[in-house]
Amino acid sequence: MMRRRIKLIALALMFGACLASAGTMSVRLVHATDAEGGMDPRLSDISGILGSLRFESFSLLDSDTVRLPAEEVRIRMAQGYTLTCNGTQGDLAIEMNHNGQALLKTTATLRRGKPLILGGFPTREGKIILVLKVE
Amino acid sequence: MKNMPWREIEKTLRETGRDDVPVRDSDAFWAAFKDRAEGETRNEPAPAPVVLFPAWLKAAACFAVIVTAAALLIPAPSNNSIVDAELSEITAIEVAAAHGEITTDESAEGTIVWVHGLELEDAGPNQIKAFDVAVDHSAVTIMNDESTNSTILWIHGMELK
Repeated sequence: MMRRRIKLIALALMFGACLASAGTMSVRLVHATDAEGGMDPRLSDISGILGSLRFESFSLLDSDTVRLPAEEVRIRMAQGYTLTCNGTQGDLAIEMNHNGQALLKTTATLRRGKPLILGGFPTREGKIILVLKVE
Repeated sequence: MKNMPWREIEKTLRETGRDDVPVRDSDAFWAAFKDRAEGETRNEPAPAPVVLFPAWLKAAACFAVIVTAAALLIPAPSNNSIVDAELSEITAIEVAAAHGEITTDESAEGTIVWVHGLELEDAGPNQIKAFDVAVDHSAVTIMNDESTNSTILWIHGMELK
């Protein structure tokens, strides 16, 4: 009886660990400029956070998904940007490159449904913003 | 019986003429018996039924069955070290999800692992554990926006060659 209870607890812990670490992360590359253009409708779910940034227009340049946990998953995106992901949702290493040049390396814990904005990458007209969101 | 004076008895019977007692045949005897028995009834109390298992024996048997069943159902405490060695033992534990205190109780009857405050749902904002900007920049701002449940890492003054 007691062993069965221990097994159930272990299964619950494993299930919880799986829930905590598994998921699909969406990756969106956004171009923010001061030109008039408004918000891309494909960014409506994150319009609140993007709207807090001081730009007039937000356009979606590229998007992809990454299955977590990830093992050195490399995503080539528009305008020469490359994103490399490695790890679990609770400990995800992210590396962003531009035309082979490393720009940013960061390690983060991502919460489900709460976007992480990595921004400030310059363009001629504005900034590149990378939006990561675990669904 | 062998010591009886049979000869004298026989002689006496002959002298008294009692040796010629008329003998009826069996048919006549039973016919006369049935005639006398006609109309007569035999009114004797019926014997009590035979009791194979008296009440006290049944009660004792039931009691014995109950005691035996109870003895089989109640686990006997074990002082055998071999049996005790089969109890579960927690050698290491890691809880991946957010949680509070972990309580373990290993007694003679079993092992309990209790994780307090286990949160299967994501809670709190994202967390930037570490970052490294590889190119020239002026500043980095990290901000958690509670109103939109978002986290922003913004690199100021980045220059791309």
